[in-house]
Amino acid sequence: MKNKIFDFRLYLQGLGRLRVIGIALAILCLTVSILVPTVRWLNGPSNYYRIEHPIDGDELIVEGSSLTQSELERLDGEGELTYYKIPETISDRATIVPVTVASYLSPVLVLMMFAFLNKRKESDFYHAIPFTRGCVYTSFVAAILTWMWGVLIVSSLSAALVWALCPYVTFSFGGLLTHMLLACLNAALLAAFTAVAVSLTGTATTAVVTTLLVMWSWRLVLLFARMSLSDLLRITPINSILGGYLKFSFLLPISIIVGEVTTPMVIYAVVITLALFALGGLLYSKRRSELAGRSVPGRLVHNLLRCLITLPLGLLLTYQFIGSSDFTTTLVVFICMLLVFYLYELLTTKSARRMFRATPWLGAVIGVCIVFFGVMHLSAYVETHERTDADRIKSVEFVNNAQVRENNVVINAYELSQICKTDDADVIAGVSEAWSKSSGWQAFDETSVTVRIKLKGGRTITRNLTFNRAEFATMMGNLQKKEAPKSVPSYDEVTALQISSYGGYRSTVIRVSGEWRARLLQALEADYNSMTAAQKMECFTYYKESILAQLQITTEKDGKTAIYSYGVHGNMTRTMSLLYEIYGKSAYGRAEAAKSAIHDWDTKSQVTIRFYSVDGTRLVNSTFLERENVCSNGSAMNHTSYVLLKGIDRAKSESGTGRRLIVYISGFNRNTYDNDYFDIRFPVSLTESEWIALFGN
Amino acid sequence: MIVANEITMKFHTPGKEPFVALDRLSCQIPRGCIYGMIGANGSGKSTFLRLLSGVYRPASGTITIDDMPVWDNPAAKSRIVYIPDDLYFLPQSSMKDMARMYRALYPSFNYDRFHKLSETFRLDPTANLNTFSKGMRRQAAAILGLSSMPDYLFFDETFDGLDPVIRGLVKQVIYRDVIERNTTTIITSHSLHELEDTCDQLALLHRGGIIFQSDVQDLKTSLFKVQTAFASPFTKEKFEGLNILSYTQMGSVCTFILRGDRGATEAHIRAMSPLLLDILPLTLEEVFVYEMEALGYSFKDILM
Repeated sequence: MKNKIFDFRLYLQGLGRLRVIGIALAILCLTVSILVPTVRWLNGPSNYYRIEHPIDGDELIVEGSSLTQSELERLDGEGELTYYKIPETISDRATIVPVTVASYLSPVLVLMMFAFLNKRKESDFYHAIPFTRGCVYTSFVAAILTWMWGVLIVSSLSAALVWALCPYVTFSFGGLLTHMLLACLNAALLAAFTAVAVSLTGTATTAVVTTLLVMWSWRLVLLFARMSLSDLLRITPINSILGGYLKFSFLLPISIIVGEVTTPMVIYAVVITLALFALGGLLYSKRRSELAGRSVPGRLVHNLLRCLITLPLGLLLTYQFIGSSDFTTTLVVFICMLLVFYLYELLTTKSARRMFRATPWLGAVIGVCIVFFGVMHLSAYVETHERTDADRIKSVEFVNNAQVRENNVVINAYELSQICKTDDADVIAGVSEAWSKSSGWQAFDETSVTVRIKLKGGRTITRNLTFNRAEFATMMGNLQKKEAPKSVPSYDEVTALQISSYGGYRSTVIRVSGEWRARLLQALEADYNSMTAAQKMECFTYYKESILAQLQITTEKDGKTAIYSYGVHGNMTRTMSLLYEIYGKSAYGRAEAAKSAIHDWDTKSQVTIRFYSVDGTRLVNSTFLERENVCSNGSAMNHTSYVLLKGIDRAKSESGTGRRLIVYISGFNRNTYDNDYFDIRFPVSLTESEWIALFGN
Repeated sequence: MIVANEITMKFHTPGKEPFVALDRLSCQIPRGCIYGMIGANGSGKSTFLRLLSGVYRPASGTITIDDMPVWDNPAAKSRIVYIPDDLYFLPQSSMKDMARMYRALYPSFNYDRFHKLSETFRLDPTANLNTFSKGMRRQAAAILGLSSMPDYLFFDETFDGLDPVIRGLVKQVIYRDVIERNTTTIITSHSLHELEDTCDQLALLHRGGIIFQSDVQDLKTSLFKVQTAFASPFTKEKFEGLNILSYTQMGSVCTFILRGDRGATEAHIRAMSPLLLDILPLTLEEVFVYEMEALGYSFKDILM
């Protein structure tokens, strides 16, 4: 009989061992996965997807999405209201949450599959069967992954099918594959950790504890390293070290929860999954059957566990010294470390004498901590004393938005993105000088900039460098002039453009595409390039009342996605004019909704009204009105209401003769506070007399 | 043939000295032999069988079956079935479910034999094994083991829980396998009576080592009891020249255990004109007792 590494019959046996839990998991996951889109389907279309009056031509601006007429599928509506099928992107977590949650249950399957290792008679049986241990391990692991991946894939596809059938959405399958694969990888990674643990231990409880230790010990060490280096390193951004490897969320199960999964994290997860499965197989092959049922496994494992359990507190204690913590805290941590160590010994050996005999291992833990302390300080020393001459630098890259308000040089994020990577000799010289002077402390006239420095040898170093503001502005201004960058992304680079507004605690979004997008970009660039530095600066103070809306532009270049924001204010007349049209055509420009809000003042509370001139006129009076409950200045509000109502109708019908405004109203319906927030921007056209009556100029 | 050469097995407990379960044990068990192993609890019988089955790995020494090492060797293990004292069955399974499993694990599993044996032992193969008594579960385990048609079959105190009728049935099956397929069987027990009329060879395990092993027939015929009486007073010296292991005398009647040729011994004593001469066979237990005493052990102490 050949020594196989996998046996199909054994694999089938493994599938059978897990059939109860597997079927239960499948039913649960499938039910929830299908339930979510089904409920959505039954709820019918929501306001979010309701479009009343599509504009002429090929482009449609809608709430939440921007589509061509041909992309929309018209559905039956209610009376005057028309519904269109709107694309739903998989990035909506509600579509994939049940599957993602289920992927965290793979350790349960591993514990159940290998439960035979915790009982003597079962362990003897499976070790007596005519297969190599490696074959048993591999076949059973394959069975675990079959169940897990089968459940995840079937649930994902079932959810996708229901979403695809739902008439109110168009499902995007591209993101589905990514999320499905991530869930499968997450399940495999967690299973691999558990496979190592079960191969080391003899009871279910110690298997669970060991799984947690195997999974988190190294991450905890890295966490403490990160905390220590954050304190010690002055000018090195902590996330630049090892590509963010020190981040606690670098491990896939955490990064999925946090919602930040990057390619390096995925690669890392794949590598350690394979390595852990291999390690688990090796440990399983060498495992002694007589360990079954013993809470304390072999001597080596026992020593390892007693150290790992104590190590986090040891590292915390070390961090107290690195961070120069107070004596009381340090003492408390030290006492906790001792307690944990000896308590573990007492629980596992059940002997006070043996408990104290283990003290040398506490010394080992302390030794590791001392080494850790040394390594951290050595790293800090090397970093602090590392400097490079300009002639060794090949290029530099400014990685954060450096906005300098000096010498009339204003560089927005997009402009910076074009000049942020440079091999300009003057810039390199400036960076080199800043590096030699930077200490991590910033004076009042200095600015901190994160710079990625590529050396001629190929190495790349990232540092937070401090520059004198004026000097930096001059350096960047000169660079700006040399390379004559665009101030606004070009149409070809842009993958998404949305108009969002800040009003109350909710923001609203209009997505723009096609011709409207092109026109907006053109208008924005023209406006931006014609503004003074002070006016340009106003674009980036988003929370000011002078900002009507924010244009958020997403670009894709060389495989990298970036988002740039521009605030729109009254001086940007071309852009304002376009917004006037867009608000008039989009659902948020709904005249009826605006009129309804105005008619029912008395039923509204916390009403805020702002007026934005389209032609650039600075509105001196009544640029901002706010009212709580019933307005005390009844006659003034009534007059304003009257004028606005007339202005709304005039804007709907006019050919551009009146004085144009964009009005913003937000507030709450009085009787129901939480859900009935309203937020409307709408175009208004006033006669000259109405204008003067409201604004006096 | 099973060859165990200087095998030592230790069980480690952190904080304590390792427990030596087997200490340089060596033995050879030929093909087609029914090998009995007796010893007190904790003497190492089950450990020895687990080593032979590849469940344990010895700390030192080698174990081979037909010149193949056993540890992690599917080729060797496919020819072995081990029936432990603490039986394992799949949860909520029947004999039929277990047979299916055995078929998957042991390609030589014979369904015909399984059904036949189930009928013979009057066990319902579709019934849940949890409803079986302890003895019935042992029968089920034996049926599954025998149906796997192994070359090497190990019973760890299995016979201890079987009633005499069933024991006889199992013995019949084993004998047939030995004759037809040259199956080697090892049976462990802590009762000599269980093994007396089943095994070809017997070994006594004590504190991790085999202190005595012999062919059963040789054992039974090598020692015998003599009871004799003489008219005139006499002492043990009268029987000088005989290999006496144990001698007791009450008045003019003496009883002694001796090793030697039965016929020659009888002729020798008859030449002395005894009033009474009886030559009696010994039970296996008595043989063991006297053999152990000759080695310096107290048999009853060993088996208590």
